[in-house]
Amino acid sequence: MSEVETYSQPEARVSFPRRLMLAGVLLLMTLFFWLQTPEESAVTYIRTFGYFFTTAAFLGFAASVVPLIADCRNRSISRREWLFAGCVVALGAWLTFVHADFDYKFVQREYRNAAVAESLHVERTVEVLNGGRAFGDRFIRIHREASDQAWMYPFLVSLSHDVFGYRELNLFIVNACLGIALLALGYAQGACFGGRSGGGLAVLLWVSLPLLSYSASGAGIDLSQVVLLQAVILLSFLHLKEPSAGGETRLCLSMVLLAYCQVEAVLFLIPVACVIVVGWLRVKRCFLSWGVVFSAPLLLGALWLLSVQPEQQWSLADFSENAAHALFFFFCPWNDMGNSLLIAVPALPALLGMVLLFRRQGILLRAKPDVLVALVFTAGIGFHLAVLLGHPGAQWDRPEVSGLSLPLYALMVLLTTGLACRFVKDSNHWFYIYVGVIVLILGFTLPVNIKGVYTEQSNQVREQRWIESVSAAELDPYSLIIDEFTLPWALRRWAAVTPDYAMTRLAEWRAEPPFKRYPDLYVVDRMLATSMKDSQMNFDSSVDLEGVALELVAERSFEPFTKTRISRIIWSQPDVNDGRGFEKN
Amino acid sequence: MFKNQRIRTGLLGLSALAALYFALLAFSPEAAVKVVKHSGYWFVLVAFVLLLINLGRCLTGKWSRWRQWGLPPMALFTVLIGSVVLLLAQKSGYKIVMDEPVLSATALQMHLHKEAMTATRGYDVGGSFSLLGGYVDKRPYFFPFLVSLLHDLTGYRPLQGAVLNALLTPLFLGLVFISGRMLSASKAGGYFAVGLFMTVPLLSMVVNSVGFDLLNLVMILAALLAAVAYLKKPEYERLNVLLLTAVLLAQTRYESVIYVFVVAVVVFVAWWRAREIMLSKTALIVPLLLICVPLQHALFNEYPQMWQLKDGVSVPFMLSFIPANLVHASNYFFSIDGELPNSLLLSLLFALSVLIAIPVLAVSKFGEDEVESSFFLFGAGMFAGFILLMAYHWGQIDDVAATRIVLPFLLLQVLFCVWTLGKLPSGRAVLRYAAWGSFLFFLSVARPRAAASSFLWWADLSIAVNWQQEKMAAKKHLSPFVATPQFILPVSEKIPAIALQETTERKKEIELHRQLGTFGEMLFFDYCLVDPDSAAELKLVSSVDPCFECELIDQLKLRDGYYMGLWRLIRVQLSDAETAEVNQWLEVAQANPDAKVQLYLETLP
Repeated sequence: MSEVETYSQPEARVSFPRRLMLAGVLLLMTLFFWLQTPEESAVTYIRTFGYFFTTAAFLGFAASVVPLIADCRNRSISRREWLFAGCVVALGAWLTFVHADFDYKFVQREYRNAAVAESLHVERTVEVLNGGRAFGDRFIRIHREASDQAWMYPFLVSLSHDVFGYRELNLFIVNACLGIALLALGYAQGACFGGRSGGGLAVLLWVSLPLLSYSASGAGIDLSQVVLLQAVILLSFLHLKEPSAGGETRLCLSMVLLAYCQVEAVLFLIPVACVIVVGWLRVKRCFLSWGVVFSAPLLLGALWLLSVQPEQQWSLADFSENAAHALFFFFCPWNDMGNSLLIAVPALPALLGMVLLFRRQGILLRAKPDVLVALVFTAGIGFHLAVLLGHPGAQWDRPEVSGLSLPLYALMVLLTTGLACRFVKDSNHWFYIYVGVIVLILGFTLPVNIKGVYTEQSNQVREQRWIESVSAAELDPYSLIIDEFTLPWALRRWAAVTPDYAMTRLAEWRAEPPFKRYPDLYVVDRMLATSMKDSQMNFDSSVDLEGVALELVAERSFEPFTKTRISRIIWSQPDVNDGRGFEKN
Repeated sequence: MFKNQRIRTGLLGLSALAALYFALLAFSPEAAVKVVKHSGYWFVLVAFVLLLINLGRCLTGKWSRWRQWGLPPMALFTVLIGSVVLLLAQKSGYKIVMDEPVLSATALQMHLHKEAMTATRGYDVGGSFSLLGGYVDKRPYFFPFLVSLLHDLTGYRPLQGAVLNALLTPLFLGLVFISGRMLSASKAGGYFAVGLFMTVPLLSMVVNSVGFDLLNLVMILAALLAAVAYLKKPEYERLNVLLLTAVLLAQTRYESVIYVFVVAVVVFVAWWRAREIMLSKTALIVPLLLICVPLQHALFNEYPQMWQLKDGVSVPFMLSFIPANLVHASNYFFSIDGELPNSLLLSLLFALSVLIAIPVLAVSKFGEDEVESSFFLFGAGMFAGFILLMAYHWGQIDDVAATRIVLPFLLLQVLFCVWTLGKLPSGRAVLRYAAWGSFLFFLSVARPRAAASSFLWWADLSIAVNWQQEKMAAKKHLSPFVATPQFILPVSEKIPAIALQETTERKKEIELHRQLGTFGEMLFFDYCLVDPDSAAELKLVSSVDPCFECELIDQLKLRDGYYMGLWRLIRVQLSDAETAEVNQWLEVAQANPDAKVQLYLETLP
């Protein structure tokens, strides 16, 4: 209870009625600003103020966690325990990353994350830069686009850019760190339930999930959500074990951060609210900590984000169809998805076991924290799942969407670990469980990790990497690129336009080649093989620049029967007075 | 459960009958191949995990019990230094082809698909290397399994087998030391055993190879020591370690199945001494864990060409081979010209030991000392292996491709020398001098010989394979496609490949993917003769179909007038009919985009 005494002190400076009144006013103001803001304004507000909401919540959360860390040190956890935990997490991280390919997994979405992170780093705005022009060492941002994605992960990447300098690698380092953090939080959760054995089991269960390896080595936003959800679950457990104002603040602020991880993550407010209320009922005292008071305004950015989402009707038909896909994903026995049967199969009996335990323990307030947390978050994550699956396109057996299943995996790990810790007492039985899990990881998880299930998408990644290497070696960095996909060029500070835009300017360029602005123009063309005649293959071009002569720079195939070609535009009447000719010679 | 030993004995009988049924009667040869392919990895994994568990249980808690089995600091230093010297003696790589590339390709298949199969065809499909074909090989699976485990835990390396052998080297020398010390009851015996074995240049060759021979030696020694431990104190965990070591040893080299019978005799001796049958639960499943060994042997019946019989030989084993092979063996053991990786010191000492041993054996009592009992039982196994080798059609151990098969017999020679010299009056002093002498011999004779020659100087194939491996590794970043007579080699490098002999058959596919740009470069390796018309510059005559227009980019001289060439494909000349077929593929791909990927996979060369 020392924590309660220590951290409830500052709350006493402002009386409870005043705090209640302040919380009410802030809540009403938040609702007002949320509901009264038109969609266009919400887009602008997110772009302009989004960064500052997350920064405030992040700093508040960091400050609230410091006492918890200090408390951990005071709890005399032996050095041996720390060492064991460190070794287990390190082993888990090793198995997770040993075959990981640190690169983009889904080109379109992950390049957008990189672009948002770049904007947050450079301009503190939540937006995607699609194009611009280089002037000396400056890059003028021209084509900007608002982002309708949650920006917690780009925010974390922008922090790493701030600290270590702007590097593409930061995208992957941040997700790798999040992967390790997930294992550490999983260990902590398991250790809270059942000591070393529980911690080790939780880590191994996470390691058995190939999806974790993919997510932790890519640049997607899914992992940040599950890490913060795991943190929220752990903080909920700690809060229910010893309710305190400090714990409540930590829980609320972690919830705020979680809400910025994914659009639908706002739904996790419900279980967190339940935990806070149960905490109050357990100690028969309403803390109403500063965390609770300021949660509502800090959530405003996430609420605006809800407003700017494209309209998608929840439908039972979609739900039933997507639920079948989700079941297929979780219980697919073939090694062609990132799922883990080792987590999914025991989860259902574990849930039943938890319900039975809860019934045996009687009413809500007397239930043990582990059982209570498991059940509250089962309901919360179940609700989140029902909402997600009711929308079209939420087919989790599609690799690009399967990352959304991570919260459910977090729940499954929680249930399995919780139940195992309650029922397995014999060290020999733990030993057999560990051996079984390790054998299954070696036999099933590692081959899937090696194989990589996102093969079709990785073609695009490979193509991008090839284009990057060719452009670095063969192209003038001040040139203009005509490419369907301009975002990666903008990220590398290259001027790029789409073929459609280029078509609108073609007549003008043909009349006067734009040498004053660009030393060269290049075209990236994805061509489909059509026929072979006289031992020569013919291709259908995807870029129709009529009347323009092209000179081949490089070509490779990445998609079946398709060739990617980089060509230089040769103007029919080069401007002899232009300095370019001299420079080139 | 089943604590009654009579019930366990009955269950063991049932287990053995079931194993015999599944191994010999239940499956047709084709079905046996499928069973081995899908279950081979898992049988070895179960045996290996059980071995680790039981080993862990044997070693936990009472360290003092095992102190006598450990290495004193000086011995540890000797073993480590010895390992480093051996590992630096030669260049790591493929020594015996095609055995070693096949083991690498099998390990790759185990790593990616957990199947006991040798990969022969693989392509980079969407950024990950996918294996699209292979066959169940005759070679036992424990070595590829360990290599695949290393791949699993540390990432893929084509020459991971060499890494495994490098890791096994200190373990092997450590086990040799412990065995020598036990046999002579003195540390000097341990040092002598290590020094004497190091004088065999074949050991430098094997520790730097990608083959399974070093693992075989390690497993024989491990089984020998497990037998000693079990006979000293019969406990369930020790019995399990002994049995599981034998199971894995049987899957390390073909002839190592012999040691299953040796271990059975050891267990029987222990029961006889204790006047009771002692069976653990693990022992009950041991016969079942061996099912894949005879099933895999069925391959030889189905595909007799796997015996690689030479012209004029109709059966692989014959007593009539023995005299000629013994002549070859004596040529190897007592060779003094330095062209064979033998140790004259060891051969002479062994001959001397045999003479000394006759009176020693006459006055010795057997059956009381656990070390000697185990040593003589395993020695009998090693000797039986040697006799089997002498009766084998390819048992000419002065042929460097077959020399390594004699390693277990060399181990017997080393341990026998240690035992015999240890039995002499003032044996410890003799052993001490012998140990110094053997290290001196190693430094002055064996080490320079190992440095001077790979002993493969006449083996064109090994040299050519290593050259190809180097060239492919250097060009891997270009995503090449390779056609070569040794097509398994590029697969283990994760490079798409085809047998050179099949290029004509697949020329449409090759040209299609050349024009599509699927591969960065298309390379052809071929053995060829010098064009008799070449005057101003070297011209090689390749066996590649003339419709493939290629340019020579590199060559390796194997012997006078005989080269291996490396060509880059420029274009393939297709007939009108072949062009029409390519057009048909392209039409299908355009008309049905969903079938594009499947068609693409089907048209890969």
